[in-house]
Amino acid sequence: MKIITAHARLGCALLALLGFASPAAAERLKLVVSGASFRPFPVGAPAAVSSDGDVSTKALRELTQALHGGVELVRGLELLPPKSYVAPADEPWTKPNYKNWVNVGASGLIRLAASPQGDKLEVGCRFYDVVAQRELLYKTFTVPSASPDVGAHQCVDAVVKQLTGEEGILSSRVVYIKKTKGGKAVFMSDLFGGNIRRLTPADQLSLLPSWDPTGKFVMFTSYLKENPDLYRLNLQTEKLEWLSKKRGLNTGAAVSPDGKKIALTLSVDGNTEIYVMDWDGNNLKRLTDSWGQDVSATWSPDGKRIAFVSSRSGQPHIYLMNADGTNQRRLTFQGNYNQEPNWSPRPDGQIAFTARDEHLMYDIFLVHPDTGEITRLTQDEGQRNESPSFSPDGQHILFTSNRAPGKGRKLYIMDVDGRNQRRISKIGGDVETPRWGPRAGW
Amino acid sequence: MSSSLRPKIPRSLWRLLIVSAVLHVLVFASVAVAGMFRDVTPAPPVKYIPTKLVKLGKKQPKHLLPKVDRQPPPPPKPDVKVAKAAPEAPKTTSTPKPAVPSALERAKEETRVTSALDRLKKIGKTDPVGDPDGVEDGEVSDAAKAIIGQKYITEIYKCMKSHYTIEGIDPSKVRNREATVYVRVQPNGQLYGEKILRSSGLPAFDRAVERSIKRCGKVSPPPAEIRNLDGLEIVFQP
Repeated sequence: MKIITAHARLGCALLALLGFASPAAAERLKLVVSGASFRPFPVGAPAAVSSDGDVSTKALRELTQALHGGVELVRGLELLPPKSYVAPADEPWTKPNYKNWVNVGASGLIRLAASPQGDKLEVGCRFYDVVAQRELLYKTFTVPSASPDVGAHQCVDAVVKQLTGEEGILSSRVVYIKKTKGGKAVFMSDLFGGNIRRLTPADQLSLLPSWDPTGKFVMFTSYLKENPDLYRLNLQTEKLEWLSKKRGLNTGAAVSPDGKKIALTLSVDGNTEIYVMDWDGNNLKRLTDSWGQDVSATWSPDGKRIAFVSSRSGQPHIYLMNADGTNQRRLTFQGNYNQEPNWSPRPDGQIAFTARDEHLMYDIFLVHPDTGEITRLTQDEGQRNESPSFSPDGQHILFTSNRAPGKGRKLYIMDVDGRNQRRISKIGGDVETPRWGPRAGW
Repeated sequence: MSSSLRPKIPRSLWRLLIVSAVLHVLVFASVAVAGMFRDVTPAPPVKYIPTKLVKLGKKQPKHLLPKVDRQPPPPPKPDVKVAKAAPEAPKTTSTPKPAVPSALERAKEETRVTSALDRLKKIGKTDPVGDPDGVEDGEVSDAAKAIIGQKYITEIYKCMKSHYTIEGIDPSKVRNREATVYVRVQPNGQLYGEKILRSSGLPAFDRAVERSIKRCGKVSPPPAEIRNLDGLEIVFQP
């Protein structure tokens, strides 16, 4: 139909052009082309080089590996197999032969070069559009010599920003709970398990960490003062604040997208209910009031609704309500044990949650907040696939799984449609309740 | 013996048969008489709606319009005095022009039309598409030009369409966007000089469009019939 339309327009234009124009007048035709095919951006990413000659082979290898790993993880990019490259290995990183890259099917080319800067490493990042034959990006990143991978990830993020206008996700961080000798502690690391930092004492029990939208604060529940209270840690100043210390359980803090409100779970009257309060802890307001357990609040991207878990129907299911607590309704009706909802940050995003089936297998599902339609994302991969957490761009889901041989649950990542499930870090031990942090805040 | 074996027909049946025969004779006779006196006037003529094939669009200058060969009107009857018969015809002193051409002019016109028709017939029979090798000052009709031009533009369209790929962008991001690009066609068919006339507002989409044009690269050299082609404005929609 579109072709017919195009041809019709073409016909009119041709009549004007061919028959009835004065010979001297040049004509311009108009064509409409539609129906593009969409695909990831195919890029070549040859090995990182040393621009100074003083960078160790190990650092260059780490840079290259991090570059490849990052490109493979980003949904909008496709890494062309390095074995298919026809460009010579010593091709100058500032003057690539575009034809060599077009011939192997590349549309873009990412080149990395490193040079030492004192005790740090300067990573140069160049991004070329090899079809248009022009350089689109040149940036340098100064990173610790021990962590060259950070430079590679920052480079890929810059490429994604240049390509799509959106911030990349590779430089974001995650927080999670890991068992320690004396209890459980909150840890923070980059997405790939590097730069690990313990945030709470190892000999205490800390639970359910979460982020604020700026990435500057981490909230968690801890028994630091005997009672399970809610704390807020400023990552820059390392100042710890007592956010909620009501009698009973103070947990499940979820900051609204505008950063002004905090939804949390309290059991001040003996039964767990969802409350909301201001960022500074004032104006506490109860949102739910049922005989069942109401826990695990998560905000919609527009901040107008809250999804939560309630056992008011007898078994835990996902429920929805307005941000002021009105219009509470049940969202899931399948299964008998649905928990840990996490709402996608995308405007049209769905809610990921964990469900346990009749065989006591835990898997990740998606539920549409308006239609209630459910999509299964994990199946037959280990017994426990739990705690989904959306990436800042809503394109990926971080979760824990015990599918790998060995003890404990590890961090995994998958596309939002359930594809490309892979382990992303080598973090040892048993990892629980990870939360993917925002891109800002480093 | 024979009379005894023949089945007896009842008298009432005989009467019925006779009446039937008489009626048949009457019917045939009436049809024959009606045929003799039937109305022989022809059926009223079918009314046709007169139609005319016209070209749509702006009226062309007279010198560009094709010359129409008109059939000469029938010769005037010598005894017809229309002018005199007209009751209110204005009287003029000047000599009125003859309403019909003279016999000599009619003869010339007929000869001209006949010879032109003969030529056309001859061309139609022997060389419907003209000299296969072409002639130096030959000309192509507008329709033929349009077909050639359309074929060429379709080639460009197909090339663009087959290379039109948007990479690395979520389809929801480019929904309802479009980019208009100006593309020039070199005499050898190379597409070049493209520039964004109207951006989509998303640089990544604009660049994807530019890459698609680059990938298309080259088409056939433009035919002489559309040498006036200055360039193409291509609107890319997702």
